[in-house]
Amino acid sequence: MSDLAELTVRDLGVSVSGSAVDIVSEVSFDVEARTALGVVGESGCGKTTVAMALLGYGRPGTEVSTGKVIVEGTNILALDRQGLTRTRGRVVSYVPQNPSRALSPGMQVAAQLQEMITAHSVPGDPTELLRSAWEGAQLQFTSEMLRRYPHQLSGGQQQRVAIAMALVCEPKVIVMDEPTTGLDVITQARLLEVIADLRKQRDVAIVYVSHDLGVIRNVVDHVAVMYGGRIVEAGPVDEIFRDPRHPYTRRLLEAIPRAQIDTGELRGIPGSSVEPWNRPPGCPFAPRCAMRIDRCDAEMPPEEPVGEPAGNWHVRCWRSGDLDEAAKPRRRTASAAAVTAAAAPELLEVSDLVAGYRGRRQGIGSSRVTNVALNGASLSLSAGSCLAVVGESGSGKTTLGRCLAGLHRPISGEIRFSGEPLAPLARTRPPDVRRRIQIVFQDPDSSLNPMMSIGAIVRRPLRQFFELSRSEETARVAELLEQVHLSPAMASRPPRELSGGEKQRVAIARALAAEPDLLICDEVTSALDVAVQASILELLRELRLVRSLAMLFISHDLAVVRSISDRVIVLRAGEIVESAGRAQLFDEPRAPYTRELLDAVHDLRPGDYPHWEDALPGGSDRVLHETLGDVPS
Amino acid sequence: MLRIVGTRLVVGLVTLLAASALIFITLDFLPGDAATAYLGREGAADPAAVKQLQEEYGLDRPLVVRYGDWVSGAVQLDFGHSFANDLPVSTLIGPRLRRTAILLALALAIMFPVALLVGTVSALRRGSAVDGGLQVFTLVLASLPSFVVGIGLILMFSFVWPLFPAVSLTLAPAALVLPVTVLVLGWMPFTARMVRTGVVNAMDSDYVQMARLKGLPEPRIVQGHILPNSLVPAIQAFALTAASMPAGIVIVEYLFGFQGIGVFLIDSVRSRDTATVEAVTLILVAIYIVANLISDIATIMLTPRLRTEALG
Amino acid sequence: MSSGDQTGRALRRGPRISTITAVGIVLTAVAIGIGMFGRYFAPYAPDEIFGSAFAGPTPEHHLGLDFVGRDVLSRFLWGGRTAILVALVGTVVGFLAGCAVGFVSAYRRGWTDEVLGRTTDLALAFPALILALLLLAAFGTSLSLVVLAIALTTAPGAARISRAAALEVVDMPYVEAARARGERSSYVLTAEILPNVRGPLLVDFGLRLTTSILLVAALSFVGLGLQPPAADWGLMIGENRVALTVQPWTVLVPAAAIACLTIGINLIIDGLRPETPGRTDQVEAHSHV
Repeated sequence: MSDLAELTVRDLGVSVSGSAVDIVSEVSFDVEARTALGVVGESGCGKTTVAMALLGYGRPGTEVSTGKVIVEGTNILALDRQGLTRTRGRVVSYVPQNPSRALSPGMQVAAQLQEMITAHSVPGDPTELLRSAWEGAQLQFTSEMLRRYPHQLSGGQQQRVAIAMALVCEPKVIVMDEPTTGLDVITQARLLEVIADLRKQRDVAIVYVSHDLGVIRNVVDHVAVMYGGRIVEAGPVDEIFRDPRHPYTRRLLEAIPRAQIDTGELRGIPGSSVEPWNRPPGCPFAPRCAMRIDRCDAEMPPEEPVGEPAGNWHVRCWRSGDLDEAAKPRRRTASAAAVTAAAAPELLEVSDLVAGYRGRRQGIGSSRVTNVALNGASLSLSAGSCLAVVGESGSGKTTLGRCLAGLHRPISGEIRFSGEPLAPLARTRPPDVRRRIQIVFQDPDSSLNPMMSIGAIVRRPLRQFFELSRSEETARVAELLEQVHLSPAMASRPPRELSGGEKQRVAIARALAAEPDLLICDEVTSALDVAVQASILELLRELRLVRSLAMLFISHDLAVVRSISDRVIVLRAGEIVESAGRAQLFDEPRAPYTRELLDAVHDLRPGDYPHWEDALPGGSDRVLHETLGDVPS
Repeated sequence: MLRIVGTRLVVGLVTLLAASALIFITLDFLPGDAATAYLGREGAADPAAVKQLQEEYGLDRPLVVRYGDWVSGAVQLDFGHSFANDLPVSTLIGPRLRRTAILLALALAIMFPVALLVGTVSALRRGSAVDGGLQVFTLVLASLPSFVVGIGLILMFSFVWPLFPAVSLTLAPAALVLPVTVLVLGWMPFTARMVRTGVVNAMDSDYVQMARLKGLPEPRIVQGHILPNSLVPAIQAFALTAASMPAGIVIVEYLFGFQGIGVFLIDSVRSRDTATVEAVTLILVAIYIVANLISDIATIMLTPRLRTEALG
Repeated sequence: MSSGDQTGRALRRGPRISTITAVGIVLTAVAIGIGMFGRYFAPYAPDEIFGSAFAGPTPEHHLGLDFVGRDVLSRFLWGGRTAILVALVGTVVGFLAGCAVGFVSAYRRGWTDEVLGRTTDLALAFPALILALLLLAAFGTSLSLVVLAIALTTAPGAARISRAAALEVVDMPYVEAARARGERSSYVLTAEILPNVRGPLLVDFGLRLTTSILLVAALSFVGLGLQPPAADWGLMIGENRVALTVQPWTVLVPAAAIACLTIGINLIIDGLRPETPGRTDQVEAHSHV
């Protein structure tokens, strides 16, 4: 389209090798030099497939079947094997998602850059090329650093090496595939600065692939939203985030929690995305779309220009013209649970909890070392309230949850539950105490025994804690499944047939079956897509309201924490650095570390859809939360 | 690094010591004790003769004392007296051990490169007819008892097509061909399959995908990224093969009448010659432990992560 | 992220595995059928002497006579059952014992794991055949001792594999959820852990069974397993191999039967094993005898 485009992609399609099943199809976009295009979508939408196809690479079992990828007038997809080898890394380079696995473990990091210079016979002084790339990725150019092996680098450093690798042959286009996923928020923020500097200083076009709309919002100029293997909406990032024209983009933005403002109801997207071989003939999003009409099922909508000037912004939807303003999510009303919380007695009191893990003995003569994960944590939680524990990896937040659940024996300190001291391990606790404390884990795929049916999984705590007849149990299982918005008919199915979100709902139903007073949620949404996360968060909120359930909500994600908690504890390296009511913590953080964390968050911007600022005027929520949440600590 | 290697060495020694105790205690159960073997049934019926013999060789002392004596003797390569042969065990074992060592060394020296080659070729041609054929071939070979393979080879190459002797009484090269071949065929399949797994894992790794996306030419990827990173599984296969080495030696030596320690072990078991059984089992267990030690140390040397941790 | 991986894997799983498994099932069935039920079709008693040693095949004796003049076909048809049963019983006993140790190790951890682990390491230092010979040297040759030897050589390996398999499962959140509910250890082991390690354990059992069959055959071959005048495949090979050229049937037929059995079981296992790279290295070398 544009003559300035460094990278032009037209009608790109990738399919399952030797079959007509398309994984992605009809993908077209342009990226100019010194700009970045964000490719965003949920897992399974085909964004990584597109990223690799830009280098003419199809993962094993897949092949790039159609289309053109043009850089400097050359169609990369038309090149032969040798031509591709010469192009990859030299003309278009790639930054992988998981550098700890993508760097060769047995080779020093600088050697992994040097072999590229050699293989591509890049003109110029190899040492200078190496230094330029190394410094471009803001790594220290010292011989000590250059000689390190990947395992001797931190996660952030590994990713910088991967970026240096992408720079070293001075390519025209850099494809970054989830380059900050899995990094702590502060490390991520620093890395995003590196990427921002690159864009300013180097003459490259960047394709930035991510599932994280907050990051995309802040690092790219143009965005392409993918769903079901196609780009459903693409255009300038500001316009799309302020006023998305595709129902999917809207629903995605409605699902995003924010750290900087209070949001209204987070709304997930019902259903789940379909596998490439089960996609409908029409719009891939139609089965989950609230605005669906018959035509959506039957016919694939074409890419239509919207907005001014024309040609900049495209939407693939039959109904983009008549988006339903009334369907916007509700603003939030003061929650009844929060009201009762203030007067409630303390349910859980933890004082000076110290916990650690024994390390492995390294050799004869060296004694076992204890790595302290939690160093003197004290906190309290009243019945029906939600206390969030935030921290980066290694902060001790999961250890705290495991100690409370009776899965890990603390070294010292006291836990009191309903005023009574709590035994360290679950099996030494009285049955009624065990029943009243339940836990839900991070990874839904491993939370459910794959060899049991959903019904048996939910039934087990009933059998253990209550004396019910068989028919009563069955009725209760059905009731519990309905409470987590699953069909009771699901009881007979095995976990493998469920989506991640559904599995997490079953895990919640299993915890609820015990009728707990305290629910420990250990990173329960971090393995889920944002749309699914929203619906789980809303479910938890609803359960608190209905059952006056107290919650210890462990998370690394400040935005998620803001959306659900009453009070927040910030953990760093096993120590509590700040403990405050939600509103105070987010609006007036006291500890420098909390401020650093908050500054590192990449939120949507003020004024972005669904315009929470307009929907939540006057900060009435804030007043409410300050009176309720800020019990003096 | 020295400390880790040192730790491994000590663990190996402790295992060897514990194994020696187990061997000694087990054989102490031998009904009618060693005197029977020496004196024969009639002789053993005479209490005076038995008593005299026991006193002569110190067999009437407590188990712990005798074990202590045996271990301190074994350290000086004195394994006691063979009653069946009426000679010191070490005299009997010496030449036999040398012959077995030659057989073992030859078999390993041939087996390892062959297994590396077969495994690597199989992996690099994954899914092809070559791979499929090699996979089935190694599987079938691994399933066959070595004496069946040996008998097949003897039938083919000693009788149908008389190239090599069916009985290997000497160390002449021709006499060694068949025993070595049987050992190689017995050990190679497992190692080759492990090598294949290692190479396939490396080929499927993210770093090899990354190497492709970096635009490295294919030969460079194989040499620089696939092979170095799949060497460790191959080394570990060697350690696992070590578990089957002593058994392989025993059967093959028996089949070919090769006068090594394997055949000697079977003869000693038949004649209930305690001192010899003790010595030979200890040597065979030691072979296993040493092979494991070598593979452990090689793994540490070849893995930068382990190597640097060991240094730091 | 995209589903390319799954598709690729699904497509790569060709029909090759199933044909291999089918061949394996046929071979195993034939060998076990002959071994277990062959005796009912044997023309003569296994120890009846008919004529001169190593007489060639005749219409009365289709496979000729062995080294003392007994009917080879009859001895072959009689000669499988004891060895198969000895191997099977020994392996089952040893495997169950090993699994019990492995599971307790993985579940209890701490010093229990340490002690059991060291014991297992020590036991593994004795290669199967060596351990068997040691026992036979100490206690004399007897069938029950061979069973014991097989159980003892099976157990440590099984302990190690089952420990590794259980360790993969023991920290799974669904097991932790059960522990947090305060479920009994017996429930956690049997309902939460065991069903999820069945697959790899089944594969391992198969491997160990072939190893045991080979071990029994090898012991009989060197004359320390089943004792004459018993009819046994391994023993037949050992007894008659001097006349390999004169009367090959007496060696080759039992050899083929043993090969059928072990190849067959291994082919079945190979088909069972999921095509997950990296899995094979868990399966230990089955000591080749």
